[in-house]
Amino acid sequence: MKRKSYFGWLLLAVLLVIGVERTAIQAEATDDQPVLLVYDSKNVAEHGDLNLDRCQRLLTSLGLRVRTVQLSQYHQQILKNSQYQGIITMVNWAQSRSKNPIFKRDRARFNGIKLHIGPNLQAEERQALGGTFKTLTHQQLNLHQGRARQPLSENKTLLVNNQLADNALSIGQLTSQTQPSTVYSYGVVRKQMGFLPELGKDGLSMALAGQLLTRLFRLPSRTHRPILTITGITPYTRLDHLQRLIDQLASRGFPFALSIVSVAQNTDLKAFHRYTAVLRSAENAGGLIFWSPATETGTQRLNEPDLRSVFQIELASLGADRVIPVGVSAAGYWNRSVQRQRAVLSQATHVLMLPDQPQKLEQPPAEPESAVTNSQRFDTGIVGIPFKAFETAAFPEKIKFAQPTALLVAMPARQSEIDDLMQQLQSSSFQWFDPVQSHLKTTLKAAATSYGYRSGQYLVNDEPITDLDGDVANFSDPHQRVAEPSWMNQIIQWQSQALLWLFTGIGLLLAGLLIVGWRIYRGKFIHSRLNKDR
Amino acid sequence: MVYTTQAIKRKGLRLKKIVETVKISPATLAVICCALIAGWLIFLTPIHGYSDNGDFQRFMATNDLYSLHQVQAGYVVQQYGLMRYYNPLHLEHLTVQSVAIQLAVSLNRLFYSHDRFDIRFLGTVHYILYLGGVAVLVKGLVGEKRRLRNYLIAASATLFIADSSFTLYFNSFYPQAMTFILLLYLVGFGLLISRYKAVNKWLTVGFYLSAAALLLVHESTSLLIIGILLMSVGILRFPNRQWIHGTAAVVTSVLLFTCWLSANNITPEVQAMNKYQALTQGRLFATDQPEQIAKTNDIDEQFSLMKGQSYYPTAYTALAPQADYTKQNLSQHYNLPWLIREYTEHPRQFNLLLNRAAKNMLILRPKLTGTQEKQGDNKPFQKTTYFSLFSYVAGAYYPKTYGFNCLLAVAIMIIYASGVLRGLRKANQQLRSHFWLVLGLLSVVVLVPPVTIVLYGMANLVTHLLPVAICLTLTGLILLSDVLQHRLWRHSDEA
Repeated sequence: MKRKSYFGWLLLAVLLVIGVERTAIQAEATDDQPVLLVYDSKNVAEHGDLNLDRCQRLLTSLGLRVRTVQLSQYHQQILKNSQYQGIITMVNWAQSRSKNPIFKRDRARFNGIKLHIGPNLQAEERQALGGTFKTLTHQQLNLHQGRARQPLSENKTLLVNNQLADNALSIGQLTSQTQPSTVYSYGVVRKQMGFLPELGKDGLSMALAGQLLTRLFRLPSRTHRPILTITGITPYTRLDHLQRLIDQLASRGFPFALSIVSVAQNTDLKAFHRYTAVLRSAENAGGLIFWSPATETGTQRLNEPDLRSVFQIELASLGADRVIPVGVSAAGYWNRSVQRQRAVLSQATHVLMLPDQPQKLEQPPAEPESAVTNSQRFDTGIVGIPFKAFETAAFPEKIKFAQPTALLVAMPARQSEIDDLMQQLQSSSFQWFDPVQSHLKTTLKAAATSYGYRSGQYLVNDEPITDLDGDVANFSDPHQRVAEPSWMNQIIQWQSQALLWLFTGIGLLLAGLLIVGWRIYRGKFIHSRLNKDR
Repeated sequence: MVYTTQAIKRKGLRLKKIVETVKISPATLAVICCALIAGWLIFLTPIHGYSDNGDFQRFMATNDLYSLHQVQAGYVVQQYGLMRYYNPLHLEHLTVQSVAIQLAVSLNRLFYSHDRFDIRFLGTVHYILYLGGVAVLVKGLVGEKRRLRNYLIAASATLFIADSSFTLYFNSFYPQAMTFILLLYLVGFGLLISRYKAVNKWLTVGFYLSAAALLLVHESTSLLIIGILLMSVGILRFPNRQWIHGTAAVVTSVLLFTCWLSANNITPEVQAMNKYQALTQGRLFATDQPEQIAKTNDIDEQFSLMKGQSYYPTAYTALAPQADYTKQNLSQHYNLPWLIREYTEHPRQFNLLLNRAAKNMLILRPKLTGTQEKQGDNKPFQKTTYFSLFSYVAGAYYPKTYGFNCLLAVAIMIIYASGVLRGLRKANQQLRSHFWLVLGLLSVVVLVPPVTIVLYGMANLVTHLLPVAICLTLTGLILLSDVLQHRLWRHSDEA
């Protein structure tokens, strides 16, 4: 009996300690807490993985940390062990109807911010949102934000809010193209609860999602101008085309950024310096450079130290040619892997997150992702949205971006495509982000070197560079760089050659002796025999 | 104790007596030695072999095998998964290598399991074939007579054949295992045939079968055709032969057809890989100014940055070699004649590559592999030093220039030619056959490296040049046996 009572006291003490710790954790600043993103399925067949990636990048660009877990992998400890600002439920595959009673219960108990994206809205969520909902099937819908308008490209079944509750706020509207008079709300925010019918690939849909998240998470509302970014530039890109593009962008006054891929080997070749010369001309024309990692290949991915060294080597060779990246641009999955975050992404203040490549059903990913992924946040996370996503939008200039945004244009492959792009840019009336006007300040660290940018001024280790072209090493004669081999190597090389000569010498000598011998032989025997015969 | 000449003689006599009283022939002794040395290495757990350097996938998928779990690179794996159901890739790319693997798979199914594959079954198949090869070769080198010098020759042959650099291939999916074994058979049969005064039908069939099989091991072994044809001249010119001239033509054309078949028995992907690496690891590799390739064709100068790049880059690539952009802007803009023309215009660079290839020729172990299983916390990429005296000495001390190989070939050919000329009157058939055999082997040594460089660049040199190293060593063994048995300078006392 006594033992039992001791045990009871001990239990009480432990509980007390835990309780105190809990309140201590809660006292921390809430904005450092991550957001829990729970999705039902990646639904690769319908590119649901891209929706998920979009959501993660959007949250990162709003300065929120994200922890992502699949519904089936969710267990009680996840919500218990740490504090979250909010829970986002994402339904990618309505038909699958995957359920997890533990998550359902935990979400109902959770009293922070909640957001539901997609169909299969649960009863308690409906209750929190109020109003009535309706499922729209096979309808051509238009999305509106003020005057800006865009038809939804995916004609899928959509759950929408058709009657708004009191004190609920509608973010964006939907109208049917057949019945323009009926208006549904797109995003809904009511107190701590939010709802989005989808997070599609249309530009306006992304912009509205950003606005909704700002409102829901009570972030300071700011309007960001998009950065025009050319992606997919490699050393193998036709440099004449790239130069022409840069010249045209500069002459028409479009501020721009380039997302470039570099190489870690062969940086002593002329071709590399040709490439950096063009990139320097972009810098001189006011363009920003984002360093982008090269395509990952092979069955075994690099570990963190190797990755870091590749990153440092590439930046060092670019920096030596005065190509100074202002930040890093990488596909969304880079911010879901700890080693890539630590080795590369966390070295930059400005990180541009590009869309992931769609996964393929028949091709499993080379590197399986962990069950729970953590996306970190950056000083400035920039979400990349393809420029094409706004092609169908009317009055795109009225679209408000609540988060830092880059509009991505793939590097044109042909001369004519450059001209087309210029026309598109002229006709679209976006207000582009100008780094000089908006006093952009960035820092990128690689090993002991830090590269900086302060409203048009480039810095290396905090030393301003006055003339980008001025102090680039003269590389006209590549032969000067070849180091003389050491004397030991010379001897080893010489030894092989010497044996060769020795052999040739002996061979010649033997051949000579053979001839002499043959002569003597002939003189002694054959001649004498001939003489005898006579 | 002071050894006088007499004492040495006495000792020699005693040794001779011992040898004569032992009832084991040199060939049997060599086989037993090889069996023990290699068997210990490949069958006892922890097993030894070569680990995957990325090439296994292709051989495994077409032979219904798969990796059971992700393995860290640099470790040998003993167990593989065996597919139980339909495999769309089943024997898609049929080579002699796949035949050996299939044999091992069916043995595995019979004696072990239907869903697990133990690599030692493949080791067994190779092992049995190998012991046969050893028997044929040593018998061809020394014959049946139990003399001291024959035992010496058998011992030096064992030193070479049982070297772990070769036997480790048995526990792996690399095609080099079959190349090695079949070369032993080929030369062994060639030597055996020359021991008889008349043509032995079965030996001749064995010779041609192993030649055809050798050609079909890997697309690069089809280059051995030149050597095989020269060796076959020695057999076809045999006196007292029962066949007519037509047979020679048929045999030659069958061999040529097999060679053509093997050279074309590659997937488009491998073809693209060879073409790509012939440029990046060949032509671009040799020069300090690779951008000059843009002068003679319309490739963008920027592609010179691909210098040294492999078709399957290990970590990162700014532009994937498989991408359409690369195909359209690089691969479609050059071909074999252009490569040959480039090399003839830049002989210095070609020479550089030849010497580089010669440097790598006697490195017999594949790159980026380990030879041990993962056990405890042993490090990956560990290489065993077990029975590797030959490969160590050859790798360290053999001169590393192509020119030396050529001179050596010429020197050996002069020795044999003078021997044949001298023996012409005596109709020394054996020496004449050896002449053609050695000529065939040395033609491989001299001709295969340049062709390899043009076709494949410096990529995968171990696979492409292993036959050259084996041919060179076999030449050495034949020369040794001919010298020790006094066939070249004195009257052959065996005949």
